[in-house]
Amino acid sequence: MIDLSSNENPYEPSNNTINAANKGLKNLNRYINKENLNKLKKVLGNYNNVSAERIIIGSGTEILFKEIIYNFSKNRNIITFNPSFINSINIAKYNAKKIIKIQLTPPEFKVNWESLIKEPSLIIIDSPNNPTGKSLIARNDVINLLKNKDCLLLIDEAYYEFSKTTFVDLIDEYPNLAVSRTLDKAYSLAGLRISYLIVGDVFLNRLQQYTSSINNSTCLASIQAINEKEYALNNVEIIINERNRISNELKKIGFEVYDSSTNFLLVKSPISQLALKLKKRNILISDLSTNWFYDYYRISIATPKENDILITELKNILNNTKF
Amino acid sequence: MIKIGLIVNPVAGMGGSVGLKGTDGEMYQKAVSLGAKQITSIKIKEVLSLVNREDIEFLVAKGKMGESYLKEFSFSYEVVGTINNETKASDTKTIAKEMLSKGIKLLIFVGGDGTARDVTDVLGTDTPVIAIPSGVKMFSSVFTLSAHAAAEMINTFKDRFIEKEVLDIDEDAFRNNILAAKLYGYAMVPDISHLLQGKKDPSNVKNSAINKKNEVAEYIVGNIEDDILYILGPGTTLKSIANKIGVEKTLLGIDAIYNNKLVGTDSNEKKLLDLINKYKNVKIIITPIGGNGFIFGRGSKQISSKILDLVKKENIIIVSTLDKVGNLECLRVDTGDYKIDKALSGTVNVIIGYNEEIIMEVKF
Repeated sequence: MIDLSSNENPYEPSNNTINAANKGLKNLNRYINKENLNKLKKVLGNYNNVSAERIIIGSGTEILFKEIIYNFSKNRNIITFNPSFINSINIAKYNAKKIIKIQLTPPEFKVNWESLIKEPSLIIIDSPNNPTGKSLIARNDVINLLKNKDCLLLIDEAYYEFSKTTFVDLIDEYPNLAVSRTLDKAYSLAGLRISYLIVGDVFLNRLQQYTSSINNSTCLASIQAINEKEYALNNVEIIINERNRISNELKKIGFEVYDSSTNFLLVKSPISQLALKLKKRNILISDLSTNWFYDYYRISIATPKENDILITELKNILNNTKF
Repeated sequence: MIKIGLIVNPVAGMGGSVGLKGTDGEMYQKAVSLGAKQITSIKIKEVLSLVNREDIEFLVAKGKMGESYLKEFSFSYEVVGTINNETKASDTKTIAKEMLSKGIKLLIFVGGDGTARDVTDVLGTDTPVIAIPSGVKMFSSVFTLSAHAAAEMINTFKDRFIEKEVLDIDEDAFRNNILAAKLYGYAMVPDISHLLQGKKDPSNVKNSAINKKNEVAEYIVGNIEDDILYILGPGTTLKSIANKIGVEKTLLGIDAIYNNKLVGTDSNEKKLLDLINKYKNVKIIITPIGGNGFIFGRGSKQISSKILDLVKKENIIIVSTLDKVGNLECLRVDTGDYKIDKALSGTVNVIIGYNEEIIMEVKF
């Protein structure tokens, strides 16, 4: 089975990173080493050019979001997109004032940010957005939102290494901004679920006591992965090239393909029931129709060989489809 | 010249304005006795007036099943088949078969789900269709969104077609408050998908949707105010709200409650106006039709433009579940009154769960 449904990195971590994780396994009888955790914070601080104090580490982005929602949803609206892959928002249902979703509609996925904030709000958005693959908020819109002290802004930059665009540089100036990142994607560590927040002062004041739940293996592997970032960033470039190649291939066979700054493509398929048809051919893609539009699918970019199999199978399906 | 068939179901849609749920079988006579007027003629004339393609020759059913409307225009056409005074489903099937034998490349039909079902029986997926909605129930995604959309399809269709679902609802079950939508078959339609309605997804098939519906009901009931007349539109979401209040609501009729008591059941426009006049402070709770997003104008015609003018946009509460509205670009209104449609348009918040809303655009 070729899994193109979860936006995973098709490349394994480096040998050095796997060795570092193994080293951590030898200490399974021990809680996490605080020195190593502080070292990881320092490494991540340097990587993002921010103070290590602003780094909060957690076992996956959802855990960190839950912490923020738990601490900041009272008397606030929580605003996010539909569709959204941020499941932790549901915990706010009985705590937040309201959960408000913004329907993203193709082809532009435009959001009217100016009219959005009428009451104190925690806005949770991803940039680039999953599943559209593009950033849906311009820098001046981010700054305008941050100038409103009633607004807390949490931006998920899970695909930063692919988009190379960030709002982290605004953290020192705007205390109401937090940015989340992960090593799941570019750094091939999805199996370890390692994510982190870079937080402004409003968030930091409440979250600095947060106890990270990661383990020694995750911690050591993460330090190693960041220390040899060239390995990951080289994989990122390979994936981007593949993404552009596959985008063109899909367009040639009649797919509507949206521009992407990530490791996946949002497509509108000329083939109905595409996910089901591909599954029968041992390929998994993400079907977005359950809570979003029919015929829209998200396809993760894999290795060149796996991507070629996808294109071949799509051509086979098209040849077997009437008209 | 390209041969195109045209069949109009002259009785489709007549039940809507008089509060019936369809005109299949004996319900046609009942609709006529209640003063229902034919509406398909208006629809087809509007479409034909927008057709500018010159390479087509119509094969058209006789009299009120097509010819009567076509002859007002300058299209080239040939009349096919015969019809009786009272048209039946079998007429549609017989004439469609004859048109097929004469080599039509596409069939345009005007009607509702029942007509779509009859056409599908004959055409299958071999010959494409353009379906102009004019029934009481138009849940199948085969239907075009408007006369303009239908005309656009006629004007532009060439050789790319896509498969669309034909759904059917058992009319007897429908009148007995059982929403039994099922996949009946498929039809091929010109590939201009953005102009088409989506499939009406029976929203009571998924467990999670049921839970979400209960959440919406819990939220609405918790916020119901005293001394306000609530007009409840059709659908299972509204029925679950009524259930939570403890009143028996019809599934597809328009009902009304006041201080948690049922004060109107399966009400037509006149009954609703009487209630509004009596109770003064009024709110309407409505849910969009899954697949096409209509909140007014399709499926709840009893809530007329006159009623909407009295109640006003700020007193309209829209409820749904995410699986039903998430695949919509917008909500739609088609009340037949431009001024009202315009007043209802713009941004609205649709309640999709407990304390949970989605921002949608209403278009007309």
